[in-house]
Amino acid sequence: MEIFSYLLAALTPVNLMLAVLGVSAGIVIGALPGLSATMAVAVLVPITFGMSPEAALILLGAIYTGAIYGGSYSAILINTPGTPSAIATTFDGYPMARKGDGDLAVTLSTMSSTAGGLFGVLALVTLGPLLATIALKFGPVEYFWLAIFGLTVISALSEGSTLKAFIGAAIGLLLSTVGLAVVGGDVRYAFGSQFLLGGVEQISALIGLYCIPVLIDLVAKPDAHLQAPEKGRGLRIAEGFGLMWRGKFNALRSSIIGTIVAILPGAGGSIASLVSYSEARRASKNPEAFGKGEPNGVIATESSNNATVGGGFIPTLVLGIPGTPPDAVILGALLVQGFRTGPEMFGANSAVTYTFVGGLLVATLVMLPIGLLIGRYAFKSIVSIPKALLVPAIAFMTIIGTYAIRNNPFDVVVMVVLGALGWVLCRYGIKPSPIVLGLILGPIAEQGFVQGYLMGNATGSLGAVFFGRPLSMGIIALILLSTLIPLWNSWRRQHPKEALS
Amino acid sequence: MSNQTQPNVPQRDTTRSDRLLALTMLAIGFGAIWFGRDISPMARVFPTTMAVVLLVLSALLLCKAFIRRSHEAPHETGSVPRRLLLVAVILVWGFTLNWLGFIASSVAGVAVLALIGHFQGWTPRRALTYGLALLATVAFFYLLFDVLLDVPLPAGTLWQRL
Repeated sequence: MEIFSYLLAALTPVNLMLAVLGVSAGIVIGALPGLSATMAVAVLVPITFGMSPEAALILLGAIYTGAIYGGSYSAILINTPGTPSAIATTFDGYPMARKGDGDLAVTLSTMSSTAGGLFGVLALVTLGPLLATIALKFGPVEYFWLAIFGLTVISALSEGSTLKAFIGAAIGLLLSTVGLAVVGGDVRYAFGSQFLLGGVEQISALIGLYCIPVLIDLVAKPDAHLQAPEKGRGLRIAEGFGLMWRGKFNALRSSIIGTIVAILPGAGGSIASLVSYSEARRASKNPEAFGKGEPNGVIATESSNNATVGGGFIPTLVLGIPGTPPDAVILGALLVQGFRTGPEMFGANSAVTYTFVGGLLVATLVMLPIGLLIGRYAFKSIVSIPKALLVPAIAFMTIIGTYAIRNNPFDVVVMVVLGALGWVLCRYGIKPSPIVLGLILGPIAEQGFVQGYLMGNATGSLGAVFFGRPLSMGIIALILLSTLIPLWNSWRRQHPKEALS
Repeated sequence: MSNQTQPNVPQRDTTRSDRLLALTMLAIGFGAIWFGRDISPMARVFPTTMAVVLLVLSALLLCKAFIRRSHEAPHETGSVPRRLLLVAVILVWGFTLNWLGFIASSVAGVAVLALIGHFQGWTPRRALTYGLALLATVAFFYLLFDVLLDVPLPAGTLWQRL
């Protein structure tokens, strides 16, 4: 009963208002390419310094929830993920929009995000303490293998040649090594430029590789950017519910994956949504439809990345270890207030925790009407905007978004150069997603790899360090499966008779 | 767009371009090893390993491109000058951000890009409507970043000197 009363404390007018404001602000910021969920939370943290810990957590949690969901808007409508966790949403969301189903894709994204978010919050309140202890068993080598798993998943998922996708991932990993080394602090591949000391900024690269090719293609032809929807279709809620109902197991599986991945410190929504997408395609009766506008692709990625919100709070609140990058910012904000997270969050400080959980629940629920409302007008607006306005507006957002990250004009130049190179590489069959994931997962992979390498050298058994632990072997098995199954499927398609015999 | 989003677009023969791609990637891999030779062993181990992986994958692609023909990219259509102009304008925009300042470089940048992205004729009414819409966009984002989010945007060294 006590827990219930704490949960109800989230329903005070002030907390409700904070939840609504936070979700709305988060959606807008998350939808803008260049402003990630981490940045959304970070720029709005100062507002919470005068608040109680409960109110601060509710506001930050609501911003985080809204931003993760908001990232899907630009992923669906302009093929540019607003946040890294929406990368996989572009795979099917944008093809749906090109076919005139952008409104349905946004509705599905809203429903899936709400479902995934609710699952994550329920996991936070029920499984929190138990699951957090398992995540602690992950060592540096497991993180290395986890990053490689993320890369093999994206490479295996890419349309076209798997070999070229792996090359793209290797380019991304090499790009991630530019600048100061993660371990040791050496300067690498800076070629004497002080601008390259800080390395290739991940969000700038993400914006460039996804956004600039879209702009390059937009100005090439006079055709419409997206197919206009038929008139009078409304919000397509019934159609969305129907698809959600048929994809309920997909949404549940993706939410579970999102929650588990988020519990692993450092692994965020980008890995979760990719793994869920891969699983959704693997389990589908029609895997060929994925990548061409399959609604289940959107359901999988969006339910998964929003489940990471609640899941990521499990290690953040229970162990004081941030599950995802925005959690690290929220943790910092709480520490500034003098509030310490730890095991007592579900003990002595349970009033704060459960009120926050209630607030997160409210924020996730209000995301449904707010998201449907904004989403409807977002699609109608983007379809009706002429190219002469759309091109400069997108270019402007990419530039200001890139510049705002480090206040560095050189990042804008890097963003454009990478974008142009990405467009050329795409013409050669290398898609942007493996390169981007290589860049994002590079530092995680390198830290784990170098630490494992040092441990192996110190103990004299490199093989045992990298291949000796059951957890490592489990992840390696997943890597092999995610690589070999698509290769086998491709071979089977090319040689149907031999495969049958 | 990628061929992923254009399933019915005829694919072109990419065998020769695959060979070129593989050779370029081989050069990048060797370059990463060559330029990494002065880095400390601990900081070198990861990029060198990744460079070796890139070399192996590129060698496989090169072999594949000599063994069988591939058709893995769509035929390219559309205006090349407009594409090149777009990249050039955004690059210049980025280079002049500090010198011209955020507002001046952005107003100039969006105006030129509107010209590049427009395929029909211009009427005074259309020019006015588009101009006002783009100015409003610049103003909105300037207020959002500079005033609301407190992200400092460059004022322009040119104007400070005047």
